Amino acid sequence: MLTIQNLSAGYGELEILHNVNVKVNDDEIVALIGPNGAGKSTILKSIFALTTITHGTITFNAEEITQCKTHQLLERGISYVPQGRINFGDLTISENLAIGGKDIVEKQEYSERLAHIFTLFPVLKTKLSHTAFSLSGGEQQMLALARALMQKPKLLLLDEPTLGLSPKLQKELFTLLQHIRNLEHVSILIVEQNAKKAIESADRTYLLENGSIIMEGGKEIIENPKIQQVYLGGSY
Amino acid sequence: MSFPIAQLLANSLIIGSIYALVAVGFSLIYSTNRFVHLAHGATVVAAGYALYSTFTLLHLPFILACILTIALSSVIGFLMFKAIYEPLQKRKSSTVIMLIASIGLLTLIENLILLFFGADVKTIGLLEVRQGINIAGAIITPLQIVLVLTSLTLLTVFYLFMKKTTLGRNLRAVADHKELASIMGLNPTRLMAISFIIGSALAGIAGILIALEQNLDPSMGTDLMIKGFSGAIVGGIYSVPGSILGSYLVGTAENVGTWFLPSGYKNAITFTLLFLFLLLRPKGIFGVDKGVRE
Repeated sequence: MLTIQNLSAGYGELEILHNVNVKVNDDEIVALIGPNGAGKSTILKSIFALTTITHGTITFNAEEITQCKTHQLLERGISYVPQGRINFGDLTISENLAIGGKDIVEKQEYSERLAHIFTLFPVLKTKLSHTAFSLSGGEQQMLALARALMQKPKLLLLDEPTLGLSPKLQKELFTLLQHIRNLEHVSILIVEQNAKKAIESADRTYLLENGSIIMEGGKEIIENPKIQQVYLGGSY
Repeated sequence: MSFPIAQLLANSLIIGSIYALVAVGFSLIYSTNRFVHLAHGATVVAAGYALYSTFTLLHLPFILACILTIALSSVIGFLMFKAIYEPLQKRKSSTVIMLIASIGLLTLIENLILLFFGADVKTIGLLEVRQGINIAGAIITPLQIVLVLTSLTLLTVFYLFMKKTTLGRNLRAVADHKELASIMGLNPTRLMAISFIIGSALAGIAGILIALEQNLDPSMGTDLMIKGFSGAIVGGIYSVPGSILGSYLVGTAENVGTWFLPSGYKNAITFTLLFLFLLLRPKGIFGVDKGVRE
């Protein structure tokens, strides 16, 4: 589905990623882990045309999208939930979702999509007229995910969705992501700080350090001595 | 003479209605663009002189003159954005640079008006001066009643436009979080340009109303901008109802204050109110403290 080949990218003159190769297959959850500043978020931003790409290509469903603009990426089915302030805080939940579904022209189709989203995130239905900033941290993540799913994406890019959530909510979120993947047939590329959780939940994981991928594999890489020593030893 | 509360309230309502139109246009532009567009005041004056040119000098029908004036105001706003502000934003200019640019534009437009129309005051002369009507002890002219009603209607329509329409929602989304709006496929630059067009149209309407109510002079834009700006800050710059309420408060403070003090203190009263709010409640009356989850 998504293939990143020999990608070098950064911000202006500053190159963060060096010769990165990442692949995401259909209906797959792929995690990007690594220390702060390794370039995990920069990979997502590069896919979403928010960085300066100096070398390499990004292809999506056999079409090169390296030079695509944001709206062209959305049209092709790529949605991105950034990190930090992830919602329109002053807008209501209903309005946030409407912005996600703004390209659905048919009213009937919009209502059906919204009803489907509420089956995944029932809590949102009860707070439609609330402003987004009044929601709890977990609910904010739900809203951001729901808004992205309103766009009917084929590939979801999630930048640390568990940030600031309690361990219980983190676990629930990963379960929910797996459920969404199965139900919606959407591939998910997720940046995650919690290495153990990411490896356990994802189908495959890439480990980044200093802008380069130094390891990739399935759930078995949790046994890898480097992962054990550095990432599960409490250093990060 | 006893304290003429009804007359003072009526005067506050009249001037507050004009300030409110200036303030909501200004706050719309500020919230989507995040810089202080002081040249908004120049748009108001340019509109006043446009009405004077089309109606008084060219003798066009009043409605047509008004439509042309509002259209011209939008064009002025749009051109200021496209020719000056947008290129500066692309170069990632700081808000201070943007502020200086807006002061430059304000001075330029006011001086162009001075160049073409001269320094002497101009009057529109739509209606002959008529005796006012006595409403609950306050003397108000029919024109002033029309002015207040027009302003209140427009402010209501604008509020509903921002709350109920897709374009209004998208403008609020850009005002709230420009980067996220872009990620969601909205076009922030286009919406920022639209905010200039709509905000300047409101300034144009304010210009028409003030031209009908007062004499025109080229430097009145700075004064109106100070009042509109103060109204927006006092009420809460990101809130339409806040900007309206703030503007009426500024109008009331001015009118009540100058009953006790010489009228030369009018601006000092506005500034005192502004400073009090900046010190004690900088987010304004309708401002909300938001817990940002990072």
